[in-house]
Amino acid sequence: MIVEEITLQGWKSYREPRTFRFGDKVNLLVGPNEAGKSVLLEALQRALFDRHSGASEEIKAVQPLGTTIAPEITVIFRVNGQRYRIWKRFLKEPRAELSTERGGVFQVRDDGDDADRNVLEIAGGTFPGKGLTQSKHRGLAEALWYLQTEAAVPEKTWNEGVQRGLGGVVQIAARTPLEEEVIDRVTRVHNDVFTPTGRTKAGSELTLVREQTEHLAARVTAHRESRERIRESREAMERLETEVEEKTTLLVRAQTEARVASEAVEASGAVLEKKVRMEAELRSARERSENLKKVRSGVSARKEALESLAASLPEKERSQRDREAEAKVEQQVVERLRRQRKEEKEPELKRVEAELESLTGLERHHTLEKTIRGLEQYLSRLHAAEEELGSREKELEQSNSPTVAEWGEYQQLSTQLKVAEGKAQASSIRVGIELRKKTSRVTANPVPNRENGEYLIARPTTFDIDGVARVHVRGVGASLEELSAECDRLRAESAETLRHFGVMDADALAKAFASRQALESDVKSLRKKVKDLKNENPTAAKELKDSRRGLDDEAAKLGNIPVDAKSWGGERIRSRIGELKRTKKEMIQTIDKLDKQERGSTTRAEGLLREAADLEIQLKEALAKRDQQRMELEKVVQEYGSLTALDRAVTAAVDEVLRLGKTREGVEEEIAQKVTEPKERLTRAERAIKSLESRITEIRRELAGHESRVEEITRQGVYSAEGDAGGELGFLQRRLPILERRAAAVELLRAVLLDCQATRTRALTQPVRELVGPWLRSLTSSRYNNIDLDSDLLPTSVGMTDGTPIPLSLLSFGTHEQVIVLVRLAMGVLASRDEKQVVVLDDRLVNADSVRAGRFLGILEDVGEKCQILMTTCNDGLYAGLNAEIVRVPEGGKTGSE
Amino acid sequence: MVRFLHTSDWQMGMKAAQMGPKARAVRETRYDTISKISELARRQRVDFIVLAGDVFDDQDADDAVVRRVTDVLNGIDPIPVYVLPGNHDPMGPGSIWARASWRTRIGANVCLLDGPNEVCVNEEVALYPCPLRQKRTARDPTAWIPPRVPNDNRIRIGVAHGGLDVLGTSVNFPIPANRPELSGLDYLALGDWHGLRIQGRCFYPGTPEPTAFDEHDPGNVLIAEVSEASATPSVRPERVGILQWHAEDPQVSDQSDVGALERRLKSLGPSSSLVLRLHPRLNTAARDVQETLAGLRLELEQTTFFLDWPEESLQAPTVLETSLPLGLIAEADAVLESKNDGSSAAPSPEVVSEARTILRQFVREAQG
Repeated sequence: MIVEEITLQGWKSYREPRTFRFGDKVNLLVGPNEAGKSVLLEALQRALFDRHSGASEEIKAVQPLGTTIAPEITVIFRVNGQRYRIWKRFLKEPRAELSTERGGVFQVRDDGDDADRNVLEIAGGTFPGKGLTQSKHRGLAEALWYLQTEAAVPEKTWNEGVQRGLGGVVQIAARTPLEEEVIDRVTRVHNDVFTPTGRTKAGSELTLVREQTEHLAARVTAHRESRERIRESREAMERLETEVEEKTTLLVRAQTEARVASEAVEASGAVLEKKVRMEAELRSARERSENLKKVRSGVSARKEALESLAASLPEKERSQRDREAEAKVEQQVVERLRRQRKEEKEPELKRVEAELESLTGLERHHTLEKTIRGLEQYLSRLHAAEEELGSREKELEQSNSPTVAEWGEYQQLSTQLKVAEGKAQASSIRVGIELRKKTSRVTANPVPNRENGEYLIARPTTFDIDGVARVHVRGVGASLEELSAECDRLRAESAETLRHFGVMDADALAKAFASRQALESDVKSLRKKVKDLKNENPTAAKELKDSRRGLDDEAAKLGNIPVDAKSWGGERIRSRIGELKRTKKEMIQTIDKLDKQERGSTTRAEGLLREAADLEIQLKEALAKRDQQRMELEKVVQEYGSLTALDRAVTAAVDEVLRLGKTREGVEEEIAQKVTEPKERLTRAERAIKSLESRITEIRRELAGHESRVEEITRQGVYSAEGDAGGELGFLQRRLPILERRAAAVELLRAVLLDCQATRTRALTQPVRELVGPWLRSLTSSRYNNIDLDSDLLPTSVGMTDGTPIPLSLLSFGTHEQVIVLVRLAMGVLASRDEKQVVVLDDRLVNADSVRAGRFLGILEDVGEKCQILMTTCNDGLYAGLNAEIVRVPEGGKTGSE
Repeated sequence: MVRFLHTSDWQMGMKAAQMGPKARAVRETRYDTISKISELARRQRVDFIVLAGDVFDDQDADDAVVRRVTDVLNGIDPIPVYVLPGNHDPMGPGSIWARASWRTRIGANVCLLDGPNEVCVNEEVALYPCPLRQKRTARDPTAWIPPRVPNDNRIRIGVAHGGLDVLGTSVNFPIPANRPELSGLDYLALGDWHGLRIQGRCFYPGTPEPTAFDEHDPGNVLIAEVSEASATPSVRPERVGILQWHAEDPQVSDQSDVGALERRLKSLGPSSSLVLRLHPRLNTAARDVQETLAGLRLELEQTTFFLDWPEESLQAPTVLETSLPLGLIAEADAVLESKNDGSSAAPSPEVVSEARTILRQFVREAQG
């Protein structure tokens, strides 16, 4: 089909008839936005595929805005060399006529519904059940027309008309229902087991069995480990039992050994008794020998002590006598010192102290007199100041001079008067009187001041001009009079004030005020002076009284001082007092020294006397001791007959000890043989028994431990549990490979089916791929190499040069759009093998950049050689240089057709 | 004259792991069986019972099992029970016999034959027990039994656990078949072999309850009578087993094979006591045969005590399936077939075969 001409009337913006004519190759419908390009293509669809009787809202929307005009369209097209004209009017008196051309003239062939049906048949479309035609009803034109509002590709598949239109050149890889069902079933079974990414699905039987298998295997392992522990325990027990047997044998042997040794030890009792006896004898011989030795050494010691005591007695007597003599000498020294102190030094001290006391009293007397004099002077000064203050205060009281306030009032009054006079002067009126007659006299009452020949009238004045006239001058209103009166009043008040203070003028009053000020200042300073004096010594009167009394007391004491001292000056008295104080101090020190010496001598004398007494006692004791020791010695010697006899007894006892010692050594040897050796054997055997028994007990404990471990584990029932888990595991382990094989088989089957399907699709879509491939390479500078279509002839991906497929959904919007246009162009080319077809592209390359748009021109021109292209654009700049019919689409149909 | 019940290989506490979820039920059944033995002993008024080894399946058997068994043995009182440790439950440290659950609970009527010493049942009967102390050995456990001395007119009964050396191959605990003659025994009460077997004066009662599919004539105990020393024992097997274990891999080519299988199974006894392992080999793609077989499987699944019959065995081999419709499916099948090229990257032949089977199954189901 080739579209030659479209005429619209009453169609949206085309109110008036507009006709558009198209060439057989590329037609570029150019016009700005809203110019009506898409309206033209939509109208073409209505004319070819829709019933003229349709009255849906979409059809009504075609009417020019605000009119009820019946939209009309006429399309002239060519199919198989035959020209047709279809005319349709919608809504108002709807009509349709299909005409064929005979001898250059169109003759109506069908009208009404027949026209609708037949034109639809020629266009290869199908009527929609309801509403207006959609892309899927356009037959081949679904693929070849790419209108503005339509999706890039249909949701599922192209309509049958597309395949028919492609005339077997390209086939949709139709599957039989059986194939569909099998593939569907395989896919479902596959999806039950696998996730889209090919992993085993959680919750699938395969996964569950795998998980359970792992879980059970872990349980079985745990049970086996428990049983392994039993086995280990059992082995350990066997070892321990063997050891117990061995140890028991050893124990029996050790017990026998102990018994034999014990019997030997028992049999050695007599030897031991002998030893005990020997030991006792030896012990008593040693005791006897020691006692005798002790007695002998005691005798020697006493003798020595006695001799030493006797030798010390004369010395002791001499010492005692010496001490007594020394004591007497010391007592004489004491006596001498006491006399010196009592008779010489202490009376002298008393005398010095008496003189010191008198002189000190005299000094105090002098001091008091001086104090009294100072106080009297002070009080006299105070009295004089108070008297002066009294006189000044009286003078001030009697003064008629103005106070500060009165002076202030007077000054204020003077100021007011000056102000009032100023105002009166300002308000005064100048009156000039020119007399015609020189003789005429002017009088005024009161007489005003004159200035430059004029009268300054400051108060109501009456002029009498020579009796000719009497002129009364006064201010307007009462001001002049009031000001004049005010001045008078203030002057009177001022004069009254001066009179009151008895002065003549203001200067006199100022002087009076100044003199009062001076007087007040004197009073103030005197008051301060009095106050200061009083503060200087507030208790002066009392002090004076006390001092006078003190002076009387001191005077009473002055009788004790030397007569000439009374005439001494203060300096001399103080010097004498210092001298006396020093003398007193020295005397006290001397007395103290004497006292100390006296006490020291006393102490020494007493010590010497005590020593002498002690020595006397010691002497007496030594004598007593000597006598006693002499007696004791004699007693001991007498006990043994003589000292020689004692010495002999000592020697005999020592010999006896030596003899018994040798005998004992023999017994010791006997004991070593008959007692010690069996005892050691017994100890060794007992130690072995103990160790063996301890080990056996330990082993039994270990055995008990193992036994309880075995009991514990068997109590848990691990044997059956292992069986149960193992049984289940066995089942699952048999089931698992079956499931795994089945899953692998389903996966394989699905892959093979999809692969077969893809192979078939590739074969069927080969013509489209062959056409699009080179276009795509040229358009994208070989970034993309080819295109893949699915079994429904829908593009799925583009292949990169390295073969990587890129799904269309991942392409940019512009590239995606361009790929779709290429697919549709390819289908257009393939469908035009027998009969040239029209490809409609409604502004679909709007997103192409200038480079791509440029490359598209060549493709469009190539395609235009094989089929007609109706293509709209609002930007013909992109297509500059395109070998195409340019069809201008004016806005609002204002210009006519081209 | 003495009359006694000879049994062995109770294998109490047996795991029965191959029964999977039914293992517990199998274990429980064994308690019913030994209760039956207890009742039989009373009914038969035997003088004593000889339990010739393997009372327990393992020396690790659960304590609960030991307790229940002692309860049954105690319940036999006053009939004496002579229990011999076998290779599954040998004597020794950590053995079942040392456990508190045995030692402290076992009754006075039960005598553990724990040493190779003569045990006098009474003045007329002497037992010569050969208890085992290990699980495996090549030594004859009966070697210790002394020969009969002159004027010993007692009935001498050997009690041992092991294999008779009559198989020509080495056996565990080998016992010479002429032990009775060698040691002057009137009766050699044996355990270890699970099937009933009598050889001269050597007697195996076998396990009273089957433990495996390959056992020959299990499920019995022996009632033995010996009139006097040297007299031939009179021995009668008594059936006590409850479950029937049966396994076969029948070839199924047509409906008659299915029918024959069904009849064979019926002849084994009531379904509820059957423990079945069936792995049929299907030699036909005939739908009706497959369906009948599937029906039989379903029925057995619902009625038998236990059934091990994999569902996969109901599938006919791929090669026997009818041809596939031309087009995509046939192409896919051809591709699958070509995958069996033996290359390393190729999927395993089992997976390929399974994939082709699934394809056929789905096609068949889609075709209705």
